[in-house]
Amino acid sequence: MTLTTSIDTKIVALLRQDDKSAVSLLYDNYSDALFGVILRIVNQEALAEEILQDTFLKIWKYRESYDESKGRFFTWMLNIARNTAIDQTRLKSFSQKNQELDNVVSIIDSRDQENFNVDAIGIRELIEKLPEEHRSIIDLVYFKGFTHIEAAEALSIPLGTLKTRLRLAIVQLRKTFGLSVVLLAWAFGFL
Amino acid sequence: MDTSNYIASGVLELYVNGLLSETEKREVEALAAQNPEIQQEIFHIEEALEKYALAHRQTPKRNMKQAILDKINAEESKNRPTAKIVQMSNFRRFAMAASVIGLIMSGALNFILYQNWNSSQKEVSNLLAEKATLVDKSDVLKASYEEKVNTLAETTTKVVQLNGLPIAPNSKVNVYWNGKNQRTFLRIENLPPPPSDKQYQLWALADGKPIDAGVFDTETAAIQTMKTIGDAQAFAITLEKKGGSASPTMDQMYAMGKI
Repeated sequence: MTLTTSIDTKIVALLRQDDKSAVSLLYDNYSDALFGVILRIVNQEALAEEILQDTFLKIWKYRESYDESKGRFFTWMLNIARNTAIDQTRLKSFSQKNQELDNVVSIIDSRDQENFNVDAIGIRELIEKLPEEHRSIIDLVYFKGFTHIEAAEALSIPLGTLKTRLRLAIVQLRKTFGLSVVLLAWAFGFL
Repeated sequence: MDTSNYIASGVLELYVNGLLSETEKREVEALAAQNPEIQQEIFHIEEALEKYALAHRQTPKRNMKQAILDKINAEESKNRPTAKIVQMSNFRRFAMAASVIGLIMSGALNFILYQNWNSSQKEVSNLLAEKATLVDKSDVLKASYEEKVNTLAETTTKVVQLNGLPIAPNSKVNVYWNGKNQRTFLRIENLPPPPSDKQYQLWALADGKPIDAGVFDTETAAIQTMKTIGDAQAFAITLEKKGGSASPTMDQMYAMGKI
């Protein structure tokens, strides 16, 4: 199911041995993904670079706190990157929040065009097939660090509806990626 | 609780997105730990969001990797204790402990052996010295014994019996005198022990004149060697002060014998 498990296992093992070659391996495999997420959150290259550095420092520093039973390693790292970036934006522009709340959907839409990685193995097209409302919800909570209350407010929907839609959005996402994996596997002759 | 309803409620999506309070988060984790289906669902949600994140990949500047590695190294050396603690395997630990104990024991053993060796060395040199003295002594004894026996065996040696005088009538001393080589020996048969500040002295009487033949001990029954005497007609014993006198004390004469 996953494309990353074996390399993750290797990295986690190296981290447990306090082996710094893990950082190098991490960078080679995940810096693009982490940087993409950070850049999408802060939308500023120099700041994103700073946050990427902090993210790697944190991954190294808190390497012992990763618990396999509670979740996937990549998610753990993504959450460190996201939280570091979101904290940064909250620090920087508390006042911008209200303005963003008003325009957030349109802002996210326009950013999609700039920040999507065109090389991302055809996933872009698949994501674009997601209904607009699903993408908005995921982007709000995933990239903007909105609480579900804030997100519900931003989208002018009740909290219960937000929960349902977030679920639907992610279910949709899973279906889309599931399909893409099948397609890819077929394309490379694994089926 | 119905697992599929719980999954459908959307709470797991909130959980994965970090949108739950600490209490709610712990609830989800507790449920996931018990229910593999929930855990599986969490993993799938995570996976989906990971793919979503991957769709937004951006390559950072080329020098970023080195910058990050440098930063981590700098951070590490700041926090590093001065001596690096190396985790050892159990075998290594055991081997280390064993060699330290071995070294201490070997050191102690060396010390003990060195002490023993030292005292043995001393003992050996003492014994060698003792042996040398014994050899010397035995040579001396042999020489004096042979001399005495040879002298006594010679026909020219005369045995003079000195008998007790009124002062000690039971006294009896034999003097062996060889007129040729002038050797003189003495052997006590009976003589009262002298006071502690006195000693017996043997005199040779030649032409009426007393000649000192030396003092002697009464504790031994051995044949004692006296001074050489050139000429004598009689021998006499007097009690004198320790070390002997130049001339005999006549009223302290204990024994006398003519040749």
